[in-house]
Amino acid sequence: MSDKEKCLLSRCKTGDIDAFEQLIENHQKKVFNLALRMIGNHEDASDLAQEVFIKVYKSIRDFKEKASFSTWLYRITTNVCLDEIRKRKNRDLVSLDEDIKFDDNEIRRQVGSDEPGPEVLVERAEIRNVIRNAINRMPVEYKTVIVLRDIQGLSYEEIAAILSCPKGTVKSRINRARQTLRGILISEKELLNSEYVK
Amino acid sequence: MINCNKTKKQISLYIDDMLDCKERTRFEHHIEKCGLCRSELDKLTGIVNMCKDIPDEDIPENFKQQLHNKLINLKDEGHRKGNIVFLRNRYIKVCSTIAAGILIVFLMKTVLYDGLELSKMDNYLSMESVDEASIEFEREKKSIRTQDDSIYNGSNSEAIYKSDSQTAEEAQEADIESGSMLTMAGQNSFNGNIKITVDINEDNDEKVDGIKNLIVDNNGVLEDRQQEADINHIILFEFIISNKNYEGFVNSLQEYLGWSNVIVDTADAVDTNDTTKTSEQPGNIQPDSEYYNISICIE
Repeated sequence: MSDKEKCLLSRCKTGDIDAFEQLIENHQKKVFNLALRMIGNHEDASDLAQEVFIKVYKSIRDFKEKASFSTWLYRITTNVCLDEIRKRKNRDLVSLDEDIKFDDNEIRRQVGSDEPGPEVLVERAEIRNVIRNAINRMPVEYKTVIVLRDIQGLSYEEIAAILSCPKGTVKSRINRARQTLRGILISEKELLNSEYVK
Repeated sequence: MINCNKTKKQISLYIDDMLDCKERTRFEHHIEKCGLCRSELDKLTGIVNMCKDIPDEDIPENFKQQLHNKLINLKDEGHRKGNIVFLRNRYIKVCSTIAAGILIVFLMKTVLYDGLELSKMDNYLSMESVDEASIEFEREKKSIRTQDDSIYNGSNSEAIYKSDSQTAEEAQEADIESGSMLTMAGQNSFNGNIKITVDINEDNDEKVDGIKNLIVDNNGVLEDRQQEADINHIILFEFIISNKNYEGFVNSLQEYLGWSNVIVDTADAVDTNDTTKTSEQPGNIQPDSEYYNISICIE
């Protein structure tokens, strides 16, 4: 944590809103996008992100400066999103069937996320939509690691800290999550393009 | 085959450069030989690259303002709750302080009052002038210490004679509490009550009645005993009056009889030769600060 962040953190602990807003300035976009990839639509993602920052503001005094502030922030974000996903599952408003088979012909379709309005469809944009939809259909545990690792770009260590699980679990989960995603994508569309191959 | 299973499990680690040198060498060596594993690697690599290609989206336009408003509301709410808690805590503190203060005052009053009474008791006990007759008097309810009538020259009437200086029970009460002096002390009987012996050197019923009325008006309690005048026309009677009413009584008496006719003396009251008990005579009383003698001369 930089000296500036430490200074802002000290002020935040006294309830200084201005200091808090400066502290989270560089994290707002990341938190919003994490929530967006987890929950699948902009409106809910905005609400969840604000909920995250409110929680952080309320519990800022509990933050121990030994840990990374961003890791702590991501942990709260992930938990808030997971809680919301579970609530929606329990409400039965949508049915999220988590049975994903890797057989290309038997992937069950999951309820897709709300999408924003029409956007210019280009090949890459279309591919991105396909990817997003496929991610939304994944089981929540696999979705989480895909979002944290492949979209947010966090390290295995950071993911282990955020999810409070062993690094070995993170390794195996990431591998299985990617294979699950591949299976979903194959069932939807032929996407593999040599352009994306290393 | 075994190698393929192991290789498939390591594909993500290889993609993320998480294999150590030895494992990476083994993996690459297998990939070169195994087309299935190489295809799997290619497909997963493509998916990872597609995910990485998803750009971050900007936060909504009103996001910061909405968050700012929520934070302000949260802070205001926190202040209100804090004030309530503060006020509540302060109220509790104030009430506790007041209660503690009342308790301290009460304890001090009790301790000091008891201490004062006990100290008076100690003084009384230590005085040589304490005589059994007075103790006995105190023990009996309106008891009369009989004495020889030598004081009053052969009168068969019981003489009321006070030789000690012990303070009595409260004058307000009609009956004197029975019990020993120690008991009385323990009952806070040393509360400023004074026994006053009034000597009247002239037999004057009207004046005597007037004096008695003044005693009663000032919440004094007359003793039943009264020695009639002897040849010297001395009328001697006792009453109990509280300390706080004593001054008022004396003033009333002085006004009633004339200032020059009332002599208040706190010492050398009635003479007595004996401080012991039943044979006390006027003039022999040991002076005591809590014994008041009022000599009244009535012309």
